[in-house]
Amino acid sequence: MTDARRPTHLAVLLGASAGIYAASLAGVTALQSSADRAIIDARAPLDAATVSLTGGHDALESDLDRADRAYGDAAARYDRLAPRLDGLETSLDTLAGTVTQVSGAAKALPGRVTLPKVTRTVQTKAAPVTHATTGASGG
Amino acid sequence: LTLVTGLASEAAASEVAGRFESRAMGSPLRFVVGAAAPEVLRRRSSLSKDPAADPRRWWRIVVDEFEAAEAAMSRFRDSSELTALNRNVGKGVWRAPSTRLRRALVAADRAHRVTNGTFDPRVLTDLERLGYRGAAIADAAPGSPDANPAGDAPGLPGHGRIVECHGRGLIGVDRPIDLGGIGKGLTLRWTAARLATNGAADFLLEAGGDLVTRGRSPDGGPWQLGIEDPDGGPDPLAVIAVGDSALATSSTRVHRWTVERRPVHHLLDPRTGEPAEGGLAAVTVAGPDPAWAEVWSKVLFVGGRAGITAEARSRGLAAWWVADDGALEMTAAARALTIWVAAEGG
Repeated sequence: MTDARRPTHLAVLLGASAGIYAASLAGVTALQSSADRAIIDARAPLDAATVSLTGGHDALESDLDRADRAYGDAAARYDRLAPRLDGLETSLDTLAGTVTQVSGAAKALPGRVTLPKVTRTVQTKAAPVTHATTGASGG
Repeated sequence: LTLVTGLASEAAASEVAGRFESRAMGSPLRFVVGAAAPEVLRRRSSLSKDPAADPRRWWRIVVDEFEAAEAAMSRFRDSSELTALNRNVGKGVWRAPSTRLRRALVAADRAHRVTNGTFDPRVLTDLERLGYRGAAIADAAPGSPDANPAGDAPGLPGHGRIVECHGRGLIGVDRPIDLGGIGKGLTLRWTAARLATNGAADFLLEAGGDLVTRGRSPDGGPWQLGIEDPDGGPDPLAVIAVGDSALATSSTRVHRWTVERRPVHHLLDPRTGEPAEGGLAAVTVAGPDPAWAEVWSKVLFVGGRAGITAEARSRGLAAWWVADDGALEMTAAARALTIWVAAEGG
């Protein structure tokens, strides 16, 4: 009799075991899903900051590119101007030499010059016609 | 010394081609119509029936104004308001003056303050002491404690008020007042204003060498005015050209006499009570207003030759002055108005 019921018992046992296993697996899965969501929520600000930092880096890179181009332009202009500065410096040197010569010539001039006498004849004009004349007032 | 003042009757005044002459305030009074000829004005007046454009009417305005001014402000007229006021100095009597006298006293008070006391009409006692007498004011008690509420020492310059104004038009003065110069300037100011409101746009008004000009001269150009030679020479020392202007002169040429063999004149230094001796014979100032031109000419004269250039320049005045040695000098503003200078050979 016992041997006759054994297959049934084994089947029930196997089914119960499988059910318990499935329930355990579902519980563990739920727990793991909850933990993953918490982690994702905790990481969200960090992700946003990372995105923002990336944008800042991009803008900075763009600014650096513009500054680099401006520097390049300035350098190019300086290169074009440099020969003229050289010319100006040469002119200043020439001018300094001229000033020195003039200064020497001025020092060589006499301190006093006697001018010839000039005779001037002045034709005195009569006073214009007047409508009235100021005068001593009272008080 | 001419001490007789008074306005000649209008009948005694003469008119020649838009020129009217008489005497007022002890000086010649003259009115010249400019720009439009008198006959044109008369024709215009008869056509438009506008009595305003009538030179004779303008002259009557001039005569009336000067008569009213003398009645209010003359120290030479025995019956004037000013003489009555001066007689009451020190008696604690407060008078209610006419509008003219009150305005003149207030103007003199303002000039005294603006000039830091260099202009001071309270020199009448010193003028009388030196012999430049007007109507008798022997009843006055200048210098008494009651007569000097401002606390200034008599005969010395003070920065206190010249006139104390009280309610209901009552005023008081602490010392006898001489409104001669500024009074004439104010009368010229008021007369010119009345002439303007009565249609006169181009005219010259002269009272004893003080001048007001408006518009254009009879020949259509600016008014050409001579700067008098204080030595009495027949020719002017300079000639200036002006439009709307006023000129006043402080000079020793007319009012000078001898006291105890000492030559004196009527332009007193309020700091000393004696005639100003600053090396100047005459100072003329041009400006928009004859009363202030008079004030500044006197202030510059009293200040003397040493500081006149700086003072006139700092005030922005157009001023001409003649030193005792006869030299004519002027400010830059005056030079701009000058069209002829005798010393420069014309």
